[in-house]
Amino acid sequence: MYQVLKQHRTYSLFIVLTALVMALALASLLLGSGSNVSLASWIKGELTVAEQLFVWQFRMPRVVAAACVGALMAAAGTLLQNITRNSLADPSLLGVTQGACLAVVILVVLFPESGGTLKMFAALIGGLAVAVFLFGLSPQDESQGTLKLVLMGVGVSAFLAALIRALLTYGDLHRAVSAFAWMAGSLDVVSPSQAMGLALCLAALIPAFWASMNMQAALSLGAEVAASLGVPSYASRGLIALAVVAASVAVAVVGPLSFVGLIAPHLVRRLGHFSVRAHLYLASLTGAILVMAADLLGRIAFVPYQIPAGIVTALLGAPLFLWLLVQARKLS
Amino acid sequence: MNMSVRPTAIALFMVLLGAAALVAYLAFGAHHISAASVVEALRSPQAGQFDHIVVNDMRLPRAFAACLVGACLGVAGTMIQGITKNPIAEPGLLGLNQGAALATVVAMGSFGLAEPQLLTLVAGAGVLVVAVVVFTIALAIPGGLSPLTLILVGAAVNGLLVACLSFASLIYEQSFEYLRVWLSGSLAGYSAINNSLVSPWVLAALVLACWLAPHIDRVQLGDEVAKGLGANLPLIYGLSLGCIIVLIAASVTLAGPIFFVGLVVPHLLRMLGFHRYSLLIPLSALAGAVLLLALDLVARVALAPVEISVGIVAALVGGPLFIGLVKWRL
Repeated sequence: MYQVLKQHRTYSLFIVLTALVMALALASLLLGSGSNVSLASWIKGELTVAEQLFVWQFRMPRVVAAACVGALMAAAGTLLQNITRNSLADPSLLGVTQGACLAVVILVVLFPESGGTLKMFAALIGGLAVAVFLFGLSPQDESQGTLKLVLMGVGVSAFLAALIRALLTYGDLHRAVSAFAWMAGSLDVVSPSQAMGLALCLAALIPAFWASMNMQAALSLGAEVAASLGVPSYASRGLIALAVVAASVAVAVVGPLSFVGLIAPHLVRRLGHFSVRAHLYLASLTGAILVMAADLLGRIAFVPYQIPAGIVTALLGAPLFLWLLVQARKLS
Repeated sequence: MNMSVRPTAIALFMVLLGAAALVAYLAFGAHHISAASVVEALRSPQAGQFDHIVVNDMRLPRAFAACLVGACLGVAGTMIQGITKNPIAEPGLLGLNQGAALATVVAMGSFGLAEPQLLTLVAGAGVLVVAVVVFTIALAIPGGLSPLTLILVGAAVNGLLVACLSFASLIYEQSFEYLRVWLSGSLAGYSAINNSLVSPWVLAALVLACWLAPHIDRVQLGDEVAKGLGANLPLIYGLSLGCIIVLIAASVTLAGPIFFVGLVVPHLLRMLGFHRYSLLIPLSALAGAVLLLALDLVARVALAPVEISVGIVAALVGGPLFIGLVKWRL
């Protein structure tokens, strides 16, 4: 039985991860700081009005948003890692999420009453601006390219973080507090319509990702190989834009979530070798699991404090990332 | 002949520049004072004269704090670049500033500490912990202290600390108003008492740094060569790290976390032609002080009467400089 599983590693992992997603979704719907709903009473349909409120109004959007955001960030991270051929590429490390964040903060400071769609557009513009800047600046020569790219990304993200802090320091205190909370990567204020919007965006982006698979696979072998395989030269720019769009959409709703886009592809790689297509799917599932687990932990582990999911992913992700760094260098 | 005159000339020029910057600092602000009045206020202060009060009681202590912080950051940055042989290392990018800030925030919020001496110790403990973590991890990676690895480890630790700081801001809601300005690196909340409590430590650390400078030069040749020349590597590294910790802890206590200054100062000096650490370290104290005076002046005056934080000005200036450095000088 185990041999069969090993042979069909991709499928079995796919099934396991999907099952995990379902289980976490169920757990997130049932558990919480408000009240724990028992599975039995849910199945029998004997939920009180209050419990129904908790499950469908509060937790359902959170769960959907968490899964979508995790998938989006993980997909963006995988895409970036494949294209830049740098296993440490990640939207937040490259400053893309900070760019999206800054754009949203500027929008909120100038026009406090803007709706979700406007914020999403602002985030997209911010993220794309940073990506254009970085990839325009980076040298075409690939050998030094990725090192300098990551370093410049670190500089850009530090610079943008200072700008964000500047805007928040001198704004209205209450808005600043809620902005800080949002910037910690919080699923608290996700409304049902926002969750729907996120799910729709994810659904809209899936065909784009699917269509880009072959190009990604070619690009991950290097620029010259890709060119000889017939990949057009603007393809890498287009794919990076796709990754930035995915990450920015996530940031617009939930705030910057660091490390998910970095860790998810790595975790999948540790579980075995997969084709580029399978890797992307599995990484997206892993990302969804990570964010849902982080949100669940944040809600129930430290009652009555509610820790935003972004902080949990950073607290867990940073040590994981460091451990991965050590492991990767040991192997090479 | 030319080789030895030029550094001295530049050093003298910097001293003059510093004096001019100081006078400008004391003169400009929400309330403008003429240079002549400033000199008069410094030489023969008369109680009751409003201008003299502004200069002596309000701006002079703050100028002193700015010089202290600038010197600390400049020397700490140069020393880190020296002992890691990494031209883009900087205390802020390695998370040291954030570590000190987090330790201070937790101490103030959870334990209600407010004494400057204790807070400086706590900040120092924060820097120590972060430094140990970052360097241990970087050393555990074969290929160790290469520019990329160290910066990446620092970025990861930074991400972690920033998340913790956000969390702390959410918990300690009462102090949030005060905290958010301090966390962006500001001299606005300085007090003269802090200056006098912190300066002996800073002075001791600066003297130690200058004494260590020639040893750091030897370290630049590589570990084996340095050992062959008789350098006691653990002692040098240990003392340097101790210096850096004291300097960063002092600067964070006075002004909160400020980034990029420790990166810009040594590079500016290198562009002026100084390459040996025996010269770089003493000069970076001077250059750092002057730079921070200039930055704080900009912070006070740029959007007068509203004050921007020094940390923000430093990041706005230093960020692009860092990116330019990576692109063209690495």
